[in-house]
Amino acid sequence: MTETPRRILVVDDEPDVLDLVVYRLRRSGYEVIEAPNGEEGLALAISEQPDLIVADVMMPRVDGYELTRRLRDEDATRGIPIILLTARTQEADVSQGFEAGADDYLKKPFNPDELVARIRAVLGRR
Amino acid sequence: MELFAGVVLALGVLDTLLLLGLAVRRIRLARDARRHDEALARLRPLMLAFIEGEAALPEDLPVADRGVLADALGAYGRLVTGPARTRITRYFEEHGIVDEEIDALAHARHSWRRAAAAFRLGDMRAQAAEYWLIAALDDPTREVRSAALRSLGRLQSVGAVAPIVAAVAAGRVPVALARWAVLQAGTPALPELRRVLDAPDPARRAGAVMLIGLLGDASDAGLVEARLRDTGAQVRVEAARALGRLGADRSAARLVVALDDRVPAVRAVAAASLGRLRADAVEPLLRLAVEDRFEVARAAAIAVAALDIDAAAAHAGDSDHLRTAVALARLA
Repeated sequence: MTETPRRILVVDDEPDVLDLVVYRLRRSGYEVIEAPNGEEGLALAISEQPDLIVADVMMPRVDGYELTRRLRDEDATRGIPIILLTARTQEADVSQGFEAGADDYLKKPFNPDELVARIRAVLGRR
Repeated sequence: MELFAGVVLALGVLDTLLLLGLAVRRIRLARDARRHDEALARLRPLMLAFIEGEAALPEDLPVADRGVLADALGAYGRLVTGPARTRITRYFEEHGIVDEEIDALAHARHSWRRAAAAFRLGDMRAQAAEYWLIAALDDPTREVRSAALRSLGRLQSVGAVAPIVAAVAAGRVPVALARWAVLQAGTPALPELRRVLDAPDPARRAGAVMLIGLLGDASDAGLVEARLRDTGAQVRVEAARALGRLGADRSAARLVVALDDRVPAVRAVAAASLGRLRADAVEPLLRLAVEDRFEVARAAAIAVAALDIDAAAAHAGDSDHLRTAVALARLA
């Protein structure tokens, strides 16, 4: 019996990042849903109930912090683990992500191997 | 009358030719953009598989596709680290693309081509281009110099630190971009910066002090303190600022002396740094807040309010700056 692949929602307004992350996650056996901005990400998270969300921090209108906060406020999405992808790695930025409710963060530019390892670690904790 | 008709006719023909030329140009641009998008769509899956180490890229690409691939691969290279980036860099080196871009940077007649080459070499993380990128900091065109500077930052080039400081001192490159580029090199840049402290040009010394303040730690305080006695006022300003950032308690006494510097900007920055260091300097700062003027008095008042709000409040009647600083400190 084959195991159902875990579903990951990737939210990023940069098409090149979406390309790289989505390709890598699909090759690693995950089912991937894409959203090009925070608003669509929020809607897809509620409707699709992914097992994990990878979201960029720097997005127009609804940024990664705001998206995380809103997901934590919704009953339907409160428990979904979130990994933030961010070019902002000042201590205060990282704390802001964790305070918003993120489970982990990864600095941009990122190592695709590390991203998969972190996803496995976060999913393994659940 | 005939002459007038001839002129009108000639203008009409010229107008038509001009419109025709513009239309052809627009069609060509649209066609180029469409071809670019088609090539990108065709190459994207190949590039993603290549970046993941699953497939090699085709060797027999048409020239136009090679350009599209180089740009797109460079853009992906900006986003990844680890083996994925190593593969991208190796591809550029092994396929002569680095050499082509170095040649363009060094010899292209058009400045846009030199700037594009400088930009791409950074995206390719082409260490072999370091020498040429440093040389491009002296390019006659600002856009080429800025692109070279950005790429030297991407290469985390320690060898470029002194030339970058020189370029900043000469006003040839944007200061913020230069600061970013040197910060990318990290602490390995510090020995180079310390050497620049002895440069004859005060603008270079000032740039080096500023960057040491950003990259160094308390162990650099002694070197920076010595620059509070520099003959260049801008060097003393940057030294006072850097000491506030480096955070060495021992620097407080030197900064108190700098409160009497003849240049107001030095006094103002020294006051701000004393506040930042949480130094025991309330008395000299109070004197400055009351007796000095404008920016110096304002900076001193803010520092006193941060260090001892009761002392600042007790003297608020003597200075508008103190009164404002106390009110702001209580709001914070």
